[in-house]
Amino acid sequence: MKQYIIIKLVLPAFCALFVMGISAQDIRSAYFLKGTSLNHRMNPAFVSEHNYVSIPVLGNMYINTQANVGLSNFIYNYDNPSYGLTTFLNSSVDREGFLNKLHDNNKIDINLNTTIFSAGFYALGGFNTVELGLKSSVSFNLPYTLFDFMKSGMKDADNIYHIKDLSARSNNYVELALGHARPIDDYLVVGAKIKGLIGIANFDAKEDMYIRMNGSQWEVKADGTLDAVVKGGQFETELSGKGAKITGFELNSPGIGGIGVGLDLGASYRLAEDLTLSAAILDLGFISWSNTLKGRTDGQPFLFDGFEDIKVVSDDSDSGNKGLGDQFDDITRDVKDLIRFYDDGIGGGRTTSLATTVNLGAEYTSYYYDKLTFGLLSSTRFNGLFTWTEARLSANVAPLDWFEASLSGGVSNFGTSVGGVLNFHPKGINFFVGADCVFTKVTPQFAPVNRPNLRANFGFNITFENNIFSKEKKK
Amino acid sequence: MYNFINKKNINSVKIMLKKSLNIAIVCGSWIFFLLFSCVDQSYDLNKDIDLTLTVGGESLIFPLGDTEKMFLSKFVKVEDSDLLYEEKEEGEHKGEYKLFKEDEISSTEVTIKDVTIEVKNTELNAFAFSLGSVGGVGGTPIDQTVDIGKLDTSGELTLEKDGMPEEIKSIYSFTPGQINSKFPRLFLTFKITDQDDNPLSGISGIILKDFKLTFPECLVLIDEKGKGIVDGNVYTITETSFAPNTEVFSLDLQLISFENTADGKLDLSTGSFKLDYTVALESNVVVKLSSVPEGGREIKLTPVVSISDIPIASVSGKVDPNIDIKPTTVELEGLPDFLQDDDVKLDLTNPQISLNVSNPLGIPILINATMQGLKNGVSTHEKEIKTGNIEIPAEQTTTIILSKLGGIGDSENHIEYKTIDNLNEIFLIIPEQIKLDITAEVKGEKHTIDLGKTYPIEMNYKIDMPLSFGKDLIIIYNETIDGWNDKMKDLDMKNIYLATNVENTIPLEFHLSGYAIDVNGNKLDGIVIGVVGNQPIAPGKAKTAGLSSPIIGIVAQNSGIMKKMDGVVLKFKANSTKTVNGIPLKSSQYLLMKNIKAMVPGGINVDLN
Repeated sequence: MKQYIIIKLVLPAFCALFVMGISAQDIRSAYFLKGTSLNHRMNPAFVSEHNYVSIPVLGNMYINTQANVGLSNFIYNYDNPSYGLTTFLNSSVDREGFLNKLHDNNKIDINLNTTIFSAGFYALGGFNTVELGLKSSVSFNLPYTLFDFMKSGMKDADNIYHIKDLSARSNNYVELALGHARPIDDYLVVGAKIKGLIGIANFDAKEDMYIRMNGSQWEVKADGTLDAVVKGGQFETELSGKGAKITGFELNSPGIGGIGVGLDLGASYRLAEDLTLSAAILDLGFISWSNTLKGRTDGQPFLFDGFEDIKVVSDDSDSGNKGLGDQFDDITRDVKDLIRFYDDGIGGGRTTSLATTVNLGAEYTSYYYDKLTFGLLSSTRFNGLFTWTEARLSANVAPLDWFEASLSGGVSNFGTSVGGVLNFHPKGINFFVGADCVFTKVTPQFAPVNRPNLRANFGFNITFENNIFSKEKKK
Repeated sequence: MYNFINKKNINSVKIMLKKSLNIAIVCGSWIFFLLFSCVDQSYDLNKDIDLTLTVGGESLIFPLGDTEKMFLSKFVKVEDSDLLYEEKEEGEHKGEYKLFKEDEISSTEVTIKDVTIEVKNTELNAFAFSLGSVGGVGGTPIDQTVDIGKLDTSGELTLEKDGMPEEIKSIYSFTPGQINSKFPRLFLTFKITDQDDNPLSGISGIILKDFKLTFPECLVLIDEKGKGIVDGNVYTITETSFAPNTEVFSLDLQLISFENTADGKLDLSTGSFKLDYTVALESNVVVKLSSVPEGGREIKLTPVVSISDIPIASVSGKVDPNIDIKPTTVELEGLPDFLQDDDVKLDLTNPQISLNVSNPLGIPILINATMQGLKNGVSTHEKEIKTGNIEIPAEQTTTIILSKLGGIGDSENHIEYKTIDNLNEIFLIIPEQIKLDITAEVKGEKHTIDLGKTYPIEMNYKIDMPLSFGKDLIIIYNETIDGWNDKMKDLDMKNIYLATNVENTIPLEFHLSGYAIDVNGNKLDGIVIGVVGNQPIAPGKAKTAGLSSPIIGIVAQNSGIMKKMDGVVLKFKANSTKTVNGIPLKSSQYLLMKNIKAMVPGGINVDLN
């Protein structure tokens, strides 16, 4: 049984941790829980009820993957004695059925946030925090038309596909944050964090494609750009007629690729005895990168209206023409070259903004049971194409001084979810575990069948001394 | 919180226990939720996932483009055929494909054995004279001449010969041959005896005056020495003398001619002849005595006409030598592939076979050729092709061109055309062999032929004709295109259709069919290859290309069969048409497939398993 539990709980967590990463965000089901030490991560105006020091790594482990498509979009049950499953490209999968389940933009958002060290303490008339962490995010967008093209191909006499915003983006930096929150009056608490950012690597690739196919001509246009910054990195290239073809990437001596600053701002306002409003804006800032490696597609449209001079007589050594197989190989190369990036040299500086998150919350305390509150949280992360937003309604209960729990339901770009949190905060420690969303259906190998949306969080922190500010509030 | 608890329940221990139980239930439920989220067994990723992908869409059409110009030279490899060559000479015929074959026909020799006619001496009737005026004792030397008067006598000369060559049917004349560079001779001697035919002594010479010899008319003689005069068959000498036992004169025999006879010729139907002629002699005779003859005083003179052996050098007459030409087999090995299929019908517009005949005889000969095509030992056409009589003039080499359409000969170079209307039939079904029988005979009634001489009659044939075809032509060309399996083995599709516009300058209408083959080159059942509606590829005309738009279908009858395909054997069945027959095939003619579109309804299944 123990082994089963390990497999069932720990293995997926670690798989997600190492394969998909850990989110820079915290579970939003815990937004309204007062007993957590790290609530200030979601709103700098939130303060811990105790001073705390996080246990490195274990202080806050957050698992987050989100996508608006999942395994079941691409892998299907298959009525075949030799195979149990098949892909969406199998002829047994209905085209309309497959495409109707997709979105205009099919996104996969993966984030990595490792809190190396975190501490909070009361001083200077407020609650102060110090955090050191590593943040890494990777996002992919696969537009609907890409899959439409793959599945439908030539369904009509003339077929046009605009594959827009096919992109991949990654941002990686180390963050040192200093925060301070203080009550302004009995109703308003404000907080702020200033962050120093050290850029490690940044990657942004996007490509728009235009594909037109009919019986007379196939036309493909690709317009793509690639910006990459990694200190000590350079493209591996191969010279071709169109320029230096990027074939790989080489990293020699990693270092600091960019410098930036960030700012978190938050406020909490008790509008009435039983209603508290809160707002936060997180990661407002930028990183200035230097020595950007640039790539581009060659920009030349690929027009194909047939081969010329196809060699037919195979044993004709005098013919300088190529047979069908060789000509196919050539255009395969041409098409590959079409979407391939070419080295565009090293550009100057490049500034990228941080993915800013805005949290807006409202908490209502039950009239009948003041240990029960209901919260509504709106979270929006502004990240260009990868922007997402969520509304989450939670019921939070704190029946004991050392325990509280939350049950929540959310609606977001990535679908609906149900989550919950258990937070234990007896004197001296704070342990919490929870999730905003979990897999409801998994394969026997515990891979999510549907959308791989998982935001699970646990943390273990050492607490000490009482929250003077909290006591003052209680008074 | 404490206040609330205090108000509701004073017994805090019990309450705590109860709440702790609730907390445990909440925690347990939460953990239960995580532990027992639904496991979908149907999504067992340990099972094999079928990675067969269908790509391309329901209406996949791929614009394949244009082939290179498929010149005939790429298909018709002259170097692979012993019979085919390409005209390289500049001009309108440059690049034309021609069938060429030449060889000797077994030669024959004509010889008529030589003949020598031996003529017996002809003794004319003897004539006796008296030497009555001569007195004295016998043996007494004297020098006295005695005119004994006029001699007038005659005799029978016979020309005969058995075992004449049977080839000589009749003779107009013989031309004698020479022996030691000398013609046969007719000469006259006298036997001089007494009455008892004993030798007579004392006579030193005889003088003939006003000598006249009438010899057979058939003999043509000349007097090389000029002793007398030959006038027709009469030889005269004014005066001559001779010693006993010596020739009086000798005439060279130039000719034996029978043209002045009643028939004008000598019939040799029996293989022999015997001809009797009268020879008459007239002359005044004077005898010269050197002593008184011993014995009687009578002298008996017997003229003897002799003809030496007559070797016959040549004969002018009707001669019918046996010209034995053995049958010849023309081997048509090394035909190009496209002419070897059993279904091929080669309707050539103007097939031509040249016969080169050398006739050294002084006789024109008539040859008659019969041709029969054979394939696997069976006749390829019903009726033998017969040329009829073709005259080969005497003593020249003549080229006879057997041709369906005929042509204008060249008398200067002894080239003649012989039109044979059905000559093309011999090639309709391409024979492996042509059996050629040639008979020959002399023409006419009067020939001259040397006897004892060997006449080699040499013949050779030459087939040299452009590949231009009549309307009944059918040729088959098979082209194997393979090596696809490396790329096809992971692909499957129901059908492939290739729509194309074909530009064809080859003056042949093509019908395309074929079959699929596997990696071992064996025919693959379950795939049908053909042209939709059996639409033919239109033939090219003399100066314009034929245009057509066929759709070639490769239709799989069994699922998955396409994966086994390694290629196709395309069978081009080509036939001529009324509009284009007669246009020769040239290496520069081509097929070009333009705007090829590959249509794969339902897309392509790619097996990535």
